[in-house]
Amino acid sequence: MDELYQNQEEGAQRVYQEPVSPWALENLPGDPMMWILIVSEILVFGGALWAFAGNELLNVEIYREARTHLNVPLATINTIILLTSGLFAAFAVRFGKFKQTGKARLSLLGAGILGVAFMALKIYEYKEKLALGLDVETNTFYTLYYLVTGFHLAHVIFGLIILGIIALWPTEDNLESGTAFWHMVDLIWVIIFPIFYLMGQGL
Amino acid sequence: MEYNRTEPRRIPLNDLLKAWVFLVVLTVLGYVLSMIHSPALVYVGPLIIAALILFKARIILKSYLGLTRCPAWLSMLTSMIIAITAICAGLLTYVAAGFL
Repeated sequence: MDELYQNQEEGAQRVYQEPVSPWALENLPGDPMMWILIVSEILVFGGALWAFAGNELLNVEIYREARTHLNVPLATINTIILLTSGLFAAFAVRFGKFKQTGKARLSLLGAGILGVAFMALKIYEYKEKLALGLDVETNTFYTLYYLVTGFHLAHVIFGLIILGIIALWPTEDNLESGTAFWHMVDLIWVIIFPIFYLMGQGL
Repeated sequence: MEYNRTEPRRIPLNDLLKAWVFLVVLTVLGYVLSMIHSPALVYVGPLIIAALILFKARIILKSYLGLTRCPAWLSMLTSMIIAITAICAGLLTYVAAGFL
């Protein structure tokens, strides 16, 4: 550990060591607390997705009808936008490791712009639904749809704030912790999107 | 932050680009599959989608998040995602197959 601290003091690249246990926290990218948060978030969203899937047993016809109003092509484009944003965030970490601060900031800017694009398309999608009279009280499907995707959107907004903060202080630890949160947002959308939009369409 | 002149100027980014291409291909594949209306897909369709989720999640965990150096955490997060998607896909298959 002395070697690790010494390297941090000198501003050198982080040194990864042979872990004492496969569960050791020290080799996780970024702050270990971020990983506790990531696990908690996956559990929360997982529970909500189980509730969504379980409710289908009680509301088969409502779910079938509700799915016909989902804009699947738009959600697919939004997924690709978020995945590309994740790519830029991963680039930022690589540049950060090589002390290329300018490029790291530029990558974070790219990730942020795509995050804003995701947010804009999601709001457009909500407006589209509301114009059809499909709001949070319409039925169980749409209650859970707004709840889960809205909660995810709140994470996107929070993630954008984090990206902004780490762009101001792009140290290696900050970059790893901040982008880990952004990738978690990415990961959760990768699970939400197929369960809400794809399962139960033609399949 | 000081720029270290001795460090290489070229950063290998190909692995990240490859991961991104795979993610996009799997996303488009999922979309195309969801458009196919076939009785044969009633039973296996949601399971195929669940498998696609798992592949994509593994790519994000390994390439974007760099969990290859923490295999226990990689396994735990993968198991959690398997549990979430398998239950959702199982319930949907049960409904779609008309067992209710």
